Amino acid sequence: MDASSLQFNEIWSNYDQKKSKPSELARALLSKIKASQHGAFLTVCEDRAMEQAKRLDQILEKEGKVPREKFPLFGIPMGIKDALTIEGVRTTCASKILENYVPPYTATSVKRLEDAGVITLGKLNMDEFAMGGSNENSAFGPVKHPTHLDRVPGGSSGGSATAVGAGLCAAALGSDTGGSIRLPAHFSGITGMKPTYGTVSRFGLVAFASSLDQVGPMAHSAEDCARILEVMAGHDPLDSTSLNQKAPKNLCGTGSGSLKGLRIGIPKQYFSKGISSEVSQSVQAAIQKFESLGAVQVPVDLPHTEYAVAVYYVVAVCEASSNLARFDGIRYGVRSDRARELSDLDAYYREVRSLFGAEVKRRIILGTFALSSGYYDAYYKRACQVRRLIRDDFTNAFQECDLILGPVSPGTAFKLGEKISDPLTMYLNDILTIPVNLAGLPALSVPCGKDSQGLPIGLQMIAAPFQDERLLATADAFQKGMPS
Amino acid sequence: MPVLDHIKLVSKAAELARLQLTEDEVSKFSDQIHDVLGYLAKLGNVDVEGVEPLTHPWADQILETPLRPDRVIEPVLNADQEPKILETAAEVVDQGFKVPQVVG
Repeated sequence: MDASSLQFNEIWSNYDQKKSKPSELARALLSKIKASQHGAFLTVCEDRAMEQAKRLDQILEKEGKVPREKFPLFGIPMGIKDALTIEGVRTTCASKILENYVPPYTATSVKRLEDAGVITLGKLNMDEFAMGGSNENSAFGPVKHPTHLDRVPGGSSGGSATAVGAGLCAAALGSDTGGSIRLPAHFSGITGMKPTYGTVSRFGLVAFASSLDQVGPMAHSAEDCARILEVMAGHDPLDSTSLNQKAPKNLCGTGSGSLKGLRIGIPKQYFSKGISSEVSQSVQAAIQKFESLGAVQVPVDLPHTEYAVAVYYVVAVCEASSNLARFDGIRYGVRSDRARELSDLDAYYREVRSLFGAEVKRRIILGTFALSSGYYDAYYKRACQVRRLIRDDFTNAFQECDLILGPVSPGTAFKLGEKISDPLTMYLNDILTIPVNLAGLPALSVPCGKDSQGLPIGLQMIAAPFQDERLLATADAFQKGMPS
Repeated sequence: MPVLDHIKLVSKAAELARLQLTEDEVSKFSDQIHDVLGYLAKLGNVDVEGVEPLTHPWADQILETPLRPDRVIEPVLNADQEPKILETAAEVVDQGFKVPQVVG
């Protein structure tokens, strides 16, 4: 089963023509997952998935063809990043501290997908608490790149990227706080989208940095990402930051994706030194493709780009240190024998929290320091001031253009272990994805080429707030206009 | 900004965050945080005079916070008629979460 046979249209056409049925596809993928050496899955939901699939078999049998009106994602087998809860299914966030956690509730995004006919194959590996860019920070072992097993798939949604890229599922959910969907999509050669902040409910998403986190789809095409987003989007009374406005519909509607006259903004800061020449060339070729399809290039200026990583590593760690205070081992989580014997609450907390991994501890410490008395103004307040300047850069740029195009990251997938000992170098990998989260914008990565070693390269497309529909329609038009 | 003792900084922050670090971790984190803070110093080069901090993407433009009615919902029970939420507890006593003694 190759990746192209996992495009939704192909799956539905096979169901319609009785060449396959949901339980057959689910069974085939479950055995492929078991045989896989990628480390993409942390929990495989075999019984649960087969139950879902058999129920869909019966519906298909009764209806005679795929009932897409009632079930817009009928029989689509997906994997879910282990940062999202599913009632009765272990949710670890790739952390020892949640190794035994079985949540009593389901994330709204996942619930909406399952109500629409999705089969959940399992929970996907990630960097612990979504902190990392290579998926080497998982407490349960790293994830390998879908096609180059000695390399990283990117992170933090690395399990999601590899599961899709290696054809273990048709699509996956990831979450993106500083590039955690787009970077692995770029490294792994798939399409991944971070919606406008507030488009998708965060209820049931284990919080990392609440003002930046957003759940998004990862799949084999922009069209399939659009179908997933359409189902997930919309206000949720259980998340007051989910936007109280009409959800985007018909994201890939006919004709909306014409590139004729589209003004594409090219920020010079996204092509500065430090970007590998092969990445730069691939992205430039994609821009020419846009022009050949009728788009017009416009230079735009994003002067505060160079400060984005610094802003992020203050804002994200401050929010994380506060969010992760909830892991106290009282209501859930692992309580070791040693912790059980302790009679002092403070000692108990320290024992329980010793289960956090190194990157998580490092960020909690940095965040706790930056928020502490005497340093708050110098770090957190100043970072938030510069955050506004970064947002204003985009507001100004979108006066001149409809979409911004650029690379996702300076390089392609690197080798496992290559950068793990140097957090700062790892952080700098995110320089082109972080600004989008700080400004709350929608953005995605679509494959646009490969480097000389055959490693995938993604094109990043960024739109103004709430232009998710235009973003996906344009990506769809680009993808369909690209020779595959 | 005052010169920072990074070992002290890491130890103090760890204490506040209830993290127990080994000596090795303190030393390693101190070096790494030294590098990161060195990098963060570049924020000092930006002119932020009169710029309002932005703490949330739509902090200054969105719409009102959507409120939901404050309703009391009965606890969900499991097959044994016990509150389902207790299933995640490490130790349960009298239908409550057991914790180390808090009040002396």
